[in-house]
Amino acid sequence: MSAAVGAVAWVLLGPVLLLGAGPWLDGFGRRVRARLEARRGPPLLQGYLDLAKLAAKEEVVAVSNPVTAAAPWVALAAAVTAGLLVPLGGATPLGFAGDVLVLVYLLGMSAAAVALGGASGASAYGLLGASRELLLLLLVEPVVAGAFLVVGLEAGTFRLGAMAAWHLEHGPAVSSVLAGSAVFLALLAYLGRVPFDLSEAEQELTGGALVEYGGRRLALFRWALFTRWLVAAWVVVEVFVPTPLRGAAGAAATAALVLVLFGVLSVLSVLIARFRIDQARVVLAQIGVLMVFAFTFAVMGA
Amino acid sequence: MTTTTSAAGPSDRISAHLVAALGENLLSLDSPARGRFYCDIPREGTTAAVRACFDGLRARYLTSVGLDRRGEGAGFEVLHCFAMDDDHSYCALRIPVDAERPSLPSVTPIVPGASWAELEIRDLLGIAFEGHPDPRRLVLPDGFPEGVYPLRKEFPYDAKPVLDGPSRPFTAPPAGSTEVRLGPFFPVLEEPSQWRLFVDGERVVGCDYRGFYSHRAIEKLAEAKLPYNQVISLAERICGICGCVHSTAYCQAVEEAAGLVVPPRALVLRSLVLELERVHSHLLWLGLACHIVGFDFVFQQSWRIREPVMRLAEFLTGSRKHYQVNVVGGVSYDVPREKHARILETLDVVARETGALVKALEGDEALVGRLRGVGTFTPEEVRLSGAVGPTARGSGVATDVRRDHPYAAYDQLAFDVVTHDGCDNWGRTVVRIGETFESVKMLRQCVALLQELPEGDLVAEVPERLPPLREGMHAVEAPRGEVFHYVRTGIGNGPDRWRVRAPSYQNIQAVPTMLKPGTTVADVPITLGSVDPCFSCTERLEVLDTGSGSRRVLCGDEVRILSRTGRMPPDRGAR
Amino acid sequence: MLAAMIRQLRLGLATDRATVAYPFAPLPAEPNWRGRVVVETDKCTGCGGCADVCPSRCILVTDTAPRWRIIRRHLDRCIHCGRCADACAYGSVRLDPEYELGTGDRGDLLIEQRLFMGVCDRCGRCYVPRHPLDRLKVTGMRVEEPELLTPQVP
Repeated sequence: MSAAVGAVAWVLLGPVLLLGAGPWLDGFGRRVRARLEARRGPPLLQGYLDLAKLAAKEEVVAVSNPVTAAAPWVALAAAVTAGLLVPLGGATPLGFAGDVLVLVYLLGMSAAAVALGGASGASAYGLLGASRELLLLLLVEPVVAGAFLVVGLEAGTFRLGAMAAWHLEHGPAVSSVLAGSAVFLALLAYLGRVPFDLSEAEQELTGGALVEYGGRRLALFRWALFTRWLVAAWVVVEVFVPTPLRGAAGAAATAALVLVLFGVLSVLSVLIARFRIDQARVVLAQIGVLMVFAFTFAVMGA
Repeated sequence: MTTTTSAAGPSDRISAHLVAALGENLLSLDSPARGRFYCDIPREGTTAAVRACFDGLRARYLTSVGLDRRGEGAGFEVLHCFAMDDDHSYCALRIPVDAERPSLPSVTPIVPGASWAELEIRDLLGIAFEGHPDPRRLVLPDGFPEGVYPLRKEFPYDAKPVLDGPSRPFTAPPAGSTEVRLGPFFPVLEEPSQWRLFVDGERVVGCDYRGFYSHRAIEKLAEAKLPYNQVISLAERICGICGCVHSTAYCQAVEEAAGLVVPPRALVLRSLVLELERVHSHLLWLGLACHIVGFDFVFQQSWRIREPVMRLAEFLTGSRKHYQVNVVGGVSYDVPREKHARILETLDVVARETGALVKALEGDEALVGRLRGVGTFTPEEVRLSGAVGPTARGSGVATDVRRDHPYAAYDQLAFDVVTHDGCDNWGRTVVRIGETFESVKMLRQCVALLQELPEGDLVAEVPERLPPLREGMHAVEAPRGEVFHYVRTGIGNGPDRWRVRAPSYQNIQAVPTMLKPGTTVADVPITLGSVDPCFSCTERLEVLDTGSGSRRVLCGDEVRILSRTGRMPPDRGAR
Repeated sequence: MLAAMIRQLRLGLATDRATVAYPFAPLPAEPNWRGRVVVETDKCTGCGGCADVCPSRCILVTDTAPRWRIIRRHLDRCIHCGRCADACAYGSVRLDPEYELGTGDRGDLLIEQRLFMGVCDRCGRCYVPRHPLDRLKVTGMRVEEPELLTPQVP
């Protein structure tokens, strides 16, 4: 009974938390970046202000079809749904066996919705951006999914909560360290940040996949992006660097680690110039090799 | 064949070379100033004479100037200008053009870099160039009526013809490729230009450039309305970054035409201000280039380093950029001794911080990976396109106006001409970074010179009326390359003809050549950025109210219609 | 690559923030910044020398009723070249280092002067008497403002 109540409460509260926290992460990342660039940077609430501004703008629509209309909503909904599967303070109200794969799938769906949205417009930029987004997804998904598979193999379960608990109990193993490193390196690509933000490179593609979107639909896409960042960073921390604390303290501890992770990623983002697609392919392939090693160790039981 | 020279020695040797090279195509040779040669060529001898200069003498192509001399009883006239850098000379081939049926053989097949100059003369003066490979309209906007030529003397500078004429046709993409349109609102540089890239996936297989969206009637205004000293304010506003180079080159051309001798202190002041401009321009470029490749760290840091230079300029000249330092015959204010300390302090800080930034970039494979091997440009391509400045020096071609045609105080300054053999975007980057440090060196020398020279005259004795119908050609090494000005003095208090050839005029023409097979879309903005294009410098010739001309294309919804459907939107008529 | 990134990180952390508080704190220009045109009208003799040299033709001199000259300076067209200040023989024009010239009311950027001038006996046009004492005499003879024709400014 209480599990059901917990689940319902989570379904109602979870999206609020996710949507509320994502934009703050954007402001945080921008402040970190500004610190290295000798700037003060925007206020920490800038993410919210940007969304509010976008929502209030008139939308100018070139081509209107079911895909361009639905894509922003799908992107956001998928990201939020993925977030509902993530452990919070050790609890997984909606957890089930294999939920980690569903989570990865949902995050991928969110990214694919961006690509589809871009490809369904009328602009050549959108098409180029979409194709880059899909290519990146193809290169990065295996690494991320692979990382969870490695831990799952070790833990003997593909249930997020159980994976985190197993990792906490047994400590790091060679395979999980390798997998964790690989996923950390791939996170920048997974989150679509510089140097992997090719699909939206403002300087090259005037906004890429999102070039046709403005106003409310762009706000939805951006919100989906923030939520993806939050969910991806959180789940990586939960699985690879789990905390023994439970409840609110556990949530706070994980949140702190997520901030550290996001901060480090933001710093890396500032210090590396954007990759061209062929260069991105090479880097991601190298990370893929690391993941293969991790798999090997996992299979060997180490 | 008559020869008139006014200086003995080296001029005789150069004259002899020209006479020998041009042979029977040379009707007469005039040398009104040292290092300046005007060769009269008959119409039939055009291609042979150009070939003799460009291929025979290996002279560097500068630009072509069209003149309307019908009011003087002559017809039209075209000057093809070349530079003989080793001889520190310029030579112009003067070709008369019939007033009734104005046409000349095109020299673009021999000198590809002459393409735009000829089309500009065709658009604005109505002289046809037979055999030009791409005779589409270049300069005039879509809809400009046929048969109306703005630079002809009878066209009032403020006339506004109705735009009901033909539009410029687009070339079709090659089979199997799609078109990606960058512009007219260009994403990075936020200056209007349109690059139609023909792509196969990410690879670029062809490119069509359309520019001249930001014309402002500058040459016509100067001829029609402005006295000599007011043209300086206009010249300074040709470019948004490097204005002083234009005002200096203009003044030098007028001074040469009128035979004025600028006092030594003024020459040093000109060099000082010009090098200051170079420092801030190169730092700006470095930041912008890194911004283009998504490396905002350098963008913010280099612009932070640059800011004290702007404040220094403000302190010395009264403005961050519009220095208003030049007058015909000299400069209008001094930099007194009490200001020198701040110059030297600022230079120390800038040199140190730029050095630290450059050191921090050593070994940055991500950045170098975006620049090296991209935008390759061979020395022969440099020659054919007439590219100048760091664009040329990044391919190992050591051309620099400060050394080859010394002006201002550069003959008293010790400096190196920085080159790099990379022939790619990286080479051009290294050249600009090196030049920043060279400029700091030169600035320190300028301050030392100012301290040695007595505080004295800043302007030459300028007569009430400058001698009319005399020509002057002069150049300045701008941060982007050689700025070349040609001035013909008028019978009143202003110029009869003023031709501005900014370095970007040649360098932008070279960009499609740099997009070699295998270039991806991602490489196009940085390749364009690597020539440090200045569209406002390049496009300063038009007679319309710019609003009605470019509004046609720049108007929000029309741009959208054009870029989304690929078709020109219907003309809404006069605005 | 890693070494470069570490050097860049250290550079980034070592540099002070360049962000200035403007507009929430003042940011003065250098003292000789060519900003707002200021006219000391009691020194101006209405000679129109500034109008001759202005490249953007923003100073318009109109002679209206006999002896009245109207000088309008349209500072919204001013390009801050400073030539008017250089040309003024009476030191009445200067450019102050003020750059906050944005306004919603174009009238803020118009300086209009009405000057009572000497009149040439031969051609009847306004002129500036050469001798300062003559100029004093002219000013002293000013009467109550006559009907002014509305000048047609192009």
